[in-house]
Amino acid sequence: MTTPRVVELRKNVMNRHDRKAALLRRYFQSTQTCVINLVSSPGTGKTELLTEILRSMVDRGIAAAALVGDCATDNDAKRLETSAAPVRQIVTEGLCHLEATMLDEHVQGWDLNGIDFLFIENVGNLVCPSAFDLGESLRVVLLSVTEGEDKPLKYPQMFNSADFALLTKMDLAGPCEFDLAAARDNIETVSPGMTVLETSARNPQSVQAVVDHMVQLRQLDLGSQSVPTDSLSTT
Amino acid sequence: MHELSIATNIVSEVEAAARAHNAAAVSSVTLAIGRLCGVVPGALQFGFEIVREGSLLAQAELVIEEEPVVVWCPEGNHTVELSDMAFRCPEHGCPTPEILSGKGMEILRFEISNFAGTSDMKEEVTQ
Ligand SMILES: Nc1nc2c(ncn2[C@@H]2O[C@H](COP(=O)(O)OP(=O)(O)O)[C@@H](O)[C@H]2O)c(=O)[nH]1
Ligand SMILES: [Mg+2]
Ligand SMILES: [Zn+2]
Repeated sequence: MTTPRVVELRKNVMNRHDRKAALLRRYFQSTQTCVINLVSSPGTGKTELLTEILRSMVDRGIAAAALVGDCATDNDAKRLETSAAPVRQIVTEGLCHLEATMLDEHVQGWDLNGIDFLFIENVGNLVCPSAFDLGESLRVVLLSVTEGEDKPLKYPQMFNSADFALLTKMDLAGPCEFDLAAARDNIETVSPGMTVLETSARNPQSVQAVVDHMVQLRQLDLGSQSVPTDSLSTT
Repeated sequence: MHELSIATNIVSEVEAAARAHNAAAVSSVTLAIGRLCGVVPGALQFGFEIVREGSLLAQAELVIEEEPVVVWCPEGNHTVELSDMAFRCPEHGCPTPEILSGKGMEILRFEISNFAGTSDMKEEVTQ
């Protein structure tokens, strides 16, 4: 029997990852933790803004925690810890994105009951993380005014896969001659209807607005989950 | 280079299925990847050539079929294929946020060129 034979496999390449992500998503739902995956280029301001978000949440009595993916150092984890929120670090050893399986290890034994928000600072990269579901409730893409308005058009997959976008470093918009309307148009082009908030880590009001938006989305999510209790059993 | 990690998935999935079919060597693997899945075909080819070493796929070629992005046009109530990443209906000009396909990454099929030993190959494993 040496005739070649074709086998129709029809299998999702991301099967292994997606299954793990689905398990994580169920766990996060069971603890009512809203998990927010932050993605952007390196240097966009994820750590800076997240530190302020965590600080604001701690002040408002919202239980928040963070997991940070970093290629080589624990610098970001140290910065985030200044907010007084619990922070854990995932050293990716050079990997350009986080995967659900890597998260699993760090979430194991971490009792998320009572944690309202868990933030995941992904590895700085606008390409690779877009393909990997982490079981998050929301994916948030950040774009700083120093990067150029055309980035959404250059990385449409990432912007399209996000649930909302944050423009960061708005305090530098003037000196950078940032064209806000063009940036918004470009985001709208690759992800029609997506919410875009303008932020600056130096402007507490803008941080408040982001926190308000997140709290609102979590409420909506909890509301939609609590209605059909049997929906979890569908596969 | 997340393509390396994706190539690893492909090789292990196909190798497991090939073994279940009593294969000794796989000569080709055909993949469908959506334009929105965030994978660069060239980088995936490169990753595949590294990862296939020492596996049943060592001599296998990777055939990549690119799948277009298909969206729903709410104004004209029709499906339409996008030629670029601007999410607008080419006929009606309206935004098209609803994506019907183009995000997936699927191993369609593989071809076995050699079977192992003389053992029978009755078992049909199809998933
Ligand atoms: N002026 C200003 N600088 C910022 C802001 N956010 C971040 N930065 C600076 O930008 C640099 C990169 O920020 P970082 O949070 O490390 O970016 P990450 O790589 O995305 O985590 C740091 O020097 C920050 O101090 C902001 O809102 N305004
Ligand atoms: Mg950082
Ligand atoms: Zn139309």
